[in-house]
Amino acid sequence: MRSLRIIVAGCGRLGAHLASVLSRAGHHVVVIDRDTAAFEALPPGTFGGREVEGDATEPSVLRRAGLEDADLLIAAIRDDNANGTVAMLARTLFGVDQVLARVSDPERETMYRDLGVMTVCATALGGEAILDLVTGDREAGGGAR
Amino acid sequence: MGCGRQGAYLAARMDRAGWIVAVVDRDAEALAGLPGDMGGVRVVGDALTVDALEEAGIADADTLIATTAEDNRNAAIAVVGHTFGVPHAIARVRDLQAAQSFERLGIEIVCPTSLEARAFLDHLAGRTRPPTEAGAIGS
Repeated sequence: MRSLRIIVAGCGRLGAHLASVLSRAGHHVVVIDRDTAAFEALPPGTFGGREVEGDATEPSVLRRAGLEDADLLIAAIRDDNANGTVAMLARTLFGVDQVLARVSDPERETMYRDLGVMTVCATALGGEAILDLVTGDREAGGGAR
Repeated sequence: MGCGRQGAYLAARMDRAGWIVAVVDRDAEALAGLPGDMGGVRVVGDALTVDALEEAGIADADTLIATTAEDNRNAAIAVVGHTFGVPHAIARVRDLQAAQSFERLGIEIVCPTSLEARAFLDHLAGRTRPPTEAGAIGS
């Protein structure tokens, strides 16, 4: 697989996990977080990428992380508004082809689709997974997959 | 148990699907955000107290879903539900490591962080473009 230049905005549980998995897979990963302590969540020895301290909703920080030459950005911040800003900047200001964003409010997903941003919604995913557990023995399947 | 975004989403969906849903939250305002036409009971109280559990009808419940903001609390609530004999006691646990440990408690765990990560990685795996004239760098 071709090695990609990937920027991960937000080094919380999701961001740290994705950054280390993608780094281990041989991609060039840059992870951004406002708080340097967040980088401690990167499992030691498995992350070979670069850490950038700063607010990812600031274009200067995204530039410092190398977004201009990135193949892909993943917005994995906890806050929907911050992710929206980062995703919009990546698409419009930096012209990044592939932008993926986490969103927790299912109603926001349409807004992203118009921007050409692929979204993953934990509320919907968690909801489907729980419903599958509960209804699994009654109506096999039923999940949106 | 826990009427945040996840709890409210599930409660509304299950109500529409014909379940009788009791929703418990410490904060009355959180319960006020539920659809007005929803049936079932709403209990303002601490899901870890027997009073709140009984008021919600734990004795006859088929399923308990713990979606408060805290992982540990959710696991504790599901364990308590399990001891009440609820067939499905499910806890939402965001922390990846904690989710693995809590599975040993005999409760069902749903980890949205792991689901999100898998969704992103699946998307990437399906979308790795074949090398084009511009993209054939590296390997």
